[in-house]
Amino acid sequence: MTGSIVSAATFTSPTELDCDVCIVGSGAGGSVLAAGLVEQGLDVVMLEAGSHYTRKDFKGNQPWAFDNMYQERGARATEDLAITVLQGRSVGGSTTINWSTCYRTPDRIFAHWADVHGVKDVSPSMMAPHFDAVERRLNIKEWPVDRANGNNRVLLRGGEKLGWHPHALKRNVRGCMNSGYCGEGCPVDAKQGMAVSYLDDAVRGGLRIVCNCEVERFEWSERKAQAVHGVAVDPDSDHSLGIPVTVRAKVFVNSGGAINGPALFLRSGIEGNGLIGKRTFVHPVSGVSGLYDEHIGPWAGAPQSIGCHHFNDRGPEKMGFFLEAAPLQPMLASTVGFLFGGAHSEFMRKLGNVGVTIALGIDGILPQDVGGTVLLKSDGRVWLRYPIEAHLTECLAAAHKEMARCHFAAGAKQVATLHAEAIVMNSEAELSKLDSAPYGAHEQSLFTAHVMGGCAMGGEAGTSVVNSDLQMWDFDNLFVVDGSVLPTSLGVNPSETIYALAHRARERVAAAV
Amino acid sequence: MQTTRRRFLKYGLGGVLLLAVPAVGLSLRRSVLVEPKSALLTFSPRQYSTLTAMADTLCPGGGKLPSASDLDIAGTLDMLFSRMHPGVGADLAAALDLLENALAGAVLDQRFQTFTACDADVRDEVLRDWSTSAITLRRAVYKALRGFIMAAYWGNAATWGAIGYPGIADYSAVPSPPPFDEYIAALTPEPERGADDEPDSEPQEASP
Repeated sequence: MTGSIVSAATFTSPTELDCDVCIVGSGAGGSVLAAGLVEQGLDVVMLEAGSHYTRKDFKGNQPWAFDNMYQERGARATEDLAITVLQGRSVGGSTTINWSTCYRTPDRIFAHWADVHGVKDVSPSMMAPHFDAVERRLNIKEWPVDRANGNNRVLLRGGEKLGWHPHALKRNVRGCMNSGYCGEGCPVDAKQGMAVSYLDDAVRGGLRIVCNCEVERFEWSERKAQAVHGVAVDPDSDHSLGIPVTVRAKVFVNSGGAINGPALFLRSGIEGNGLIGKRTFVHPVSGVSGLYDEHIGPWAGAPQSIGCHHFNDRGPEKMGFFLEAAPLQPMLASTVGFLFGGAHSEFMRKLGNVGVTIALGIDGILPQDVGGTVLLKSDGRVWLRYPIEAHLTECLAAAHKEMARCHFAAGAKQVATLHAEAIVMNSEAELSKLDSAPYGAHEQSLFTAHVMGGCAMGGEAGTSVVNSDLQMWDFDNLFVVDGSVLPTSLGVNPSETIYALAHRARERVAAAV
Repeated sequence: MQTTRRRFLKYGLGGVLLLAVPAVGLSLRRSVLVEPKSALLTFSPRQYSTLTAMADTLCPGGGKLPSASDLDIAGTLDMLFSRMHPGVGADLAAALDLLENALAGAVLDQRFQTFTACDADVRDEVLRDWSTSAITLRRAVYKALRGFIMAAYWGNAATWGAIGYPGIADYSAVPSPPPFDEYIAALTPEPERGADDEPDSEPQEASP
């Protein structure tokens, strides 16, 4: 049986669908799950707020991509606007626009989840078959160092000189042309995002996807979810078309991601002991740029191919961080920092010789680090409140110094921070300029592409939203399968963890039907 | 009480209105309006003019670079915000009103004209003050508006040549990789091999 991908915008009257399982959201979690459920013969309907795009739409055009495939057209941010939040919004979710970096969950994170959060049966050995399976389907393999772009070579060169053991990372690609357009939708279908892998499998097996459908709420009573109610939205404006879409199912799965997913529960009056939307983590990202004599070309080639985890564990009272590179096409590059006018134009003229290293803070591990909170605003918007606390500013200060050292070790002739008043250093001897730098909100550019938590799994109903099988404690037929179930951040890019947890959830969700 | 961006804008304008009672003349200083190049969908003509002035201050052009006005960046953003939640456009409209208001300028920036009536040097100074202001939310508003303007300007292909960005390569003629089933089959030529076995080699990937 072949399924379908239909836009709700084509509906001319209220539409009701029945199925075994309804999945809200088509990203990393929902897609892997859908393929497994269909394989088991179940009738599955998936609802997606964004549009369905294919490689013919992907032309490496960053403005088009942000406008059409990112949440809030790329303008999503924390409530105080201090952290830009990059998340996908189309069939395939963030996997359509992510930078294709894949890591297994670190063993120490699994151990932390078991010890501190009571998570059961999610250990390295028990997860290994699931990692194996998704790595095979998505062709997750180490990207050859000799194909790393200039920006990643900076991190490799600097990190090696400093003894930090930078390493080649893995990517989910097949036939990659090294175009550098991962964030704009792969123009050759090389990136094995969900739309060309698990969703393709699932649709061929009978999955029905309804895109351009904004889900508003779950209908439920006592321990049973009975329906989800959504509305068709205009693909161009995302504004409601006023046509209701209702899906009734035996089992429901919220795979809406770690901001929209908790928001859906809150709109539905599902509060999960007051824990819905709490403990949301973002791997807060800061960056430092280096100016080189050589051409770096930070806009070309695989966006990320080198990683460095030398600073993951900085001691018991400190937030760890890890280092990667970030692609710099003109549009994205121009938005970081605070410069303007002639000084900014001069920076942009040198962009081809600039490398940017990013540090990602590992939040949620320290006992006092409770991360952020997803909130509903009275006008219908969803906001993430993420305070920048002392442990984060300490981490940012340390990370800035190490990133600057790395650039100098790699041969940069000048290093600059992304502060409101950029701190410019011309040699390692000037690193002390960073000692008095401010690291609070809006003192420097911060962003995230890794939103995790908000519906954390755990060992007890009083301290978590879902159990270790990803089932809501308060419901018999409602699951959460996406990055929101992570009890902490990971210290690695989260997509493969979500794929594997969703792969593991296949049997559990099917058993609930 | 938590100070949110909406509250800042609301009370910022509220404070301006309160002060405007004894200083009504200052608050009524005229804006210098520019003609929109197309029908406005989000902003008023005054807000569009303020956004144009801000965009030209941030992205003045020069050399081979066009100015923000040349590319009608304000018009691009007016269109963009019309396709977002109405609250976003409302927040930014309030921010532009605050930037433009002469009384707010007098209180916050020691300038006694509307932003659009200021010459380029004064606008430059005003935005520099906003970007480094001790008031966090003022920096936040600056950063948000700057981000939108920069993205619209540098996302425009007309700016790319001047900075050596080669533009977007065309990959439309490159074939997609084979379907997964065929790909795996190509890796497992032995007919007796199980589907769950790990592949031990893979086809050569395309060269960069």
